[in-house]
Amino acid sequence: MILIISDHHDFSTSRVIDWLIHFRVEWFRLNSESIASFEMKISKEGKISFRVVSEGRSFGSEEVTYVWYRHGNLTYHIDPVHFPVSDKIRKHISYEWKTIANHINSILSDLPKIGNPSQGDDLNKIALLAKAAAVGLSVPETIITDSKADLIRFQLKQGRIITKGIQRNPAYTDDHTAYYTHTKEVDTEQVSNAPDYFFPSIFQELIIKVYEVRVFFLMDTCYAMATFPNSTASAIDIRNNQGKFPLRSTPYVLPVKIQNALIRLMANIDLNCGSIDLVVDENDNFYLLEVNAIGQYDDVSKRCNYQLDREIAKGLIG
Amino acid sequence: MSKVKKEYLKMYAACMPVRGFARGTICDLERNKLDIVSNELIEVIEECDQHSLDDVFQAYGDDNRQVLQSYIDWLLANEYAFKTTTPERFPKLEIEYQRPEVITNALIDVNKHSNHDFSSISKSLDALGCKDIQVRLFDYLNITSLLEIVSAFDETGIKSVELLCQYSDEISENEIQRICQSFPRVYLLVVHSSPFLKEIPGRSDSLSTMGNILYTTQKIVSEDHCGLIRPSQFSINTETYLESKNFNSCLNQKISIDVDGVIKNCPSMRFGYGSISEISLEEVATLPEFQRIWHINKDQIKVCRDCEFRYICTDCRAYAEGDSPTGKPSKCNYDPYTATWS
Repeated sequence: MILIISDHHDFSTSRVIDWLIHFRVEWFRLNSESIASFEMKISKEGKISFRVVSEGRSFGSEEVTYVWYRHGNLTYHIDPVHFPVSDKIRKHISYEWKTIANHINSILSDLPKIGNPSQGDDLNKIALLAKAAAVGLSVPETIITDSKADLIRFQLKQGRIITKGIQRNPAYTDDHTAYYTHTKEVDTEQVSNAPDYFFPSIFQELIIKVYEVRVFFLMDTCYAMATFPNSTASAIDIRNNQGKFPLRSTPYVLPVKIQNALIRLMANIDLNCGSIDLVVDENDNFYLLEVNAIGQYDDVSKRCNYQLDREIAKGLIG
Repeated sequence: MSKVKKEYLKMYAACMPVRGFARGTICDLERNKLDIVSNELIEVIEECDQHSLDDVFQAYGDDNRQVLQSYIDWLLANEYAFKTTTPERFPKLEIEYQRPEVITNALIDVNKHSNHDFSSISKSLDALGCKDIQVRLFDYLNITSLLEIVSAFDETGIKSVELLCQYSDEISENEIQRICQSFPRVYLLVVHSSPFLKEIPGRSDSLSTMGNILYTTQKIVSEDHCGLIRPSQFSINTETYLESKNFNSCLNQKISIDVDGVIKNCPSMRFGYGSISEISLEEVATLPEFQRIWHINKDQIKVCRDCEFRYICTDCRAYAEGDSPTGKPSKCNYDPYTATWS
């Protein structure tokens, strides 16, 4: 039986399940906040097994043959009716649950799997750049600093620079609006207006790209798509098609050298599935920008007809 | 880099050049638009796909230099193509089309004599993986019967239900709107034979607009109204293009039930596979003879195979010229040999 750890809203999970049904294999979708009943046993021989009830179905750990870590964590549904507890107690029991969840993960991680619960969202983006450089990929010149003086020196040396979130870009919503931030260029005026000291922030050289490459990495296969930033039309006539259509994206085959570097990088961070962002400059240098363990791959799959839902299902069948 | 590499002109994979008899098209599957072009331009695209720009210019010679340049400029300006020195990294779109479901869409016809068991039909369609359903009511049915039909698709994996019903004073606009509001699967409710025209847009979620209402004066009282081929039905997107390249663009993975309860590929076709009371939808759907027609794609259909619109167009096997399984849809009035609509 294939165990899928996901959440209610993830559409890709439903599509992969359609394929599992097509291939006639057993599956169990365990959504966040959906564990209704749970039991773990330690046998006399020291063997640990568990049983979960969720959304009207149940399974035992011994039935699981393959695991897909898609989204979210294993969370126990703390029903306010059955557990009318204060926030402090709730905090305590959530720590207790974390110990259980960690052990479930350690049982599951001995099984064949796609994704990695211990890498999830916690993939350290700073460490990642160092690891990418170590396997021979280019990475943008990077500093993390809290000092205006350092920033001025960096900008003088690099010319054009950008900033972004160190681990992730801030996103929040108020009553009416969702706010997202993206990578932003930092110009000399912004640098001269900066306070002498600020919260440690990341700055990188701006890579002038010919195109970006988004890679969906699945068990050593790179499904790549190139996206072209500026239009040839606007280079000829600026009024032509400006912003009217989405940017052009097209299937892409990475040079073998880059493919091999990515395979080594993903092996080093113990992740067999994820989304990788690269940019290619005019000298054909490939710069690694980011790796995301939990990536939305639907866009790459549809635009390039890679049928990634089916390929993930095939991967899970083994 | 020390070595100067040859420059190529590549089409973006979503921009499909299609050669017709008299002229061609570029189907832009990413931007959902279409340009009619000369076959001469399509030839330029094909040459550029195989040879470097220098070689193509040389092959066309000085006399054609200006025309060739203007074609290339046009392709670049419209963002159909780009220049690259590494053409091997830009493959074409994989033309394969496969869906996990056995059946993706179903058509159910109803008149006042019909006696379909919608709850068992719904169960069967759900088991087959069916996502889209169209129910056509040719005669007036009261609100209770309407609700009974729509509610049969609750609690299933069915994503969208399109319902056609006949106009009547008995059912108010308010009630029609309430059907759309209380059944989130209703994508479109068409009220046909209406004395007036009216469009009531539905609610938008992130992916699509559901619960649309359309009052039309058109009388849809039998399956004969179907099979019309018109440019307004062109569907320029990757899904349709890939399906049409591989399969029949109307009947692939479709199952139908006619007003008498006979299971068919399409209600307008004569041949049936038995009554729904005698054989299940699941049994029929997996029969090789039922699926055979799914594989008749546009490249096999007479006349259509020479048409520049063939992969974005719908098809009709029920009303075909010469009564042949591969005859041109008889309700299409486009002639690709003269490039004219009559």
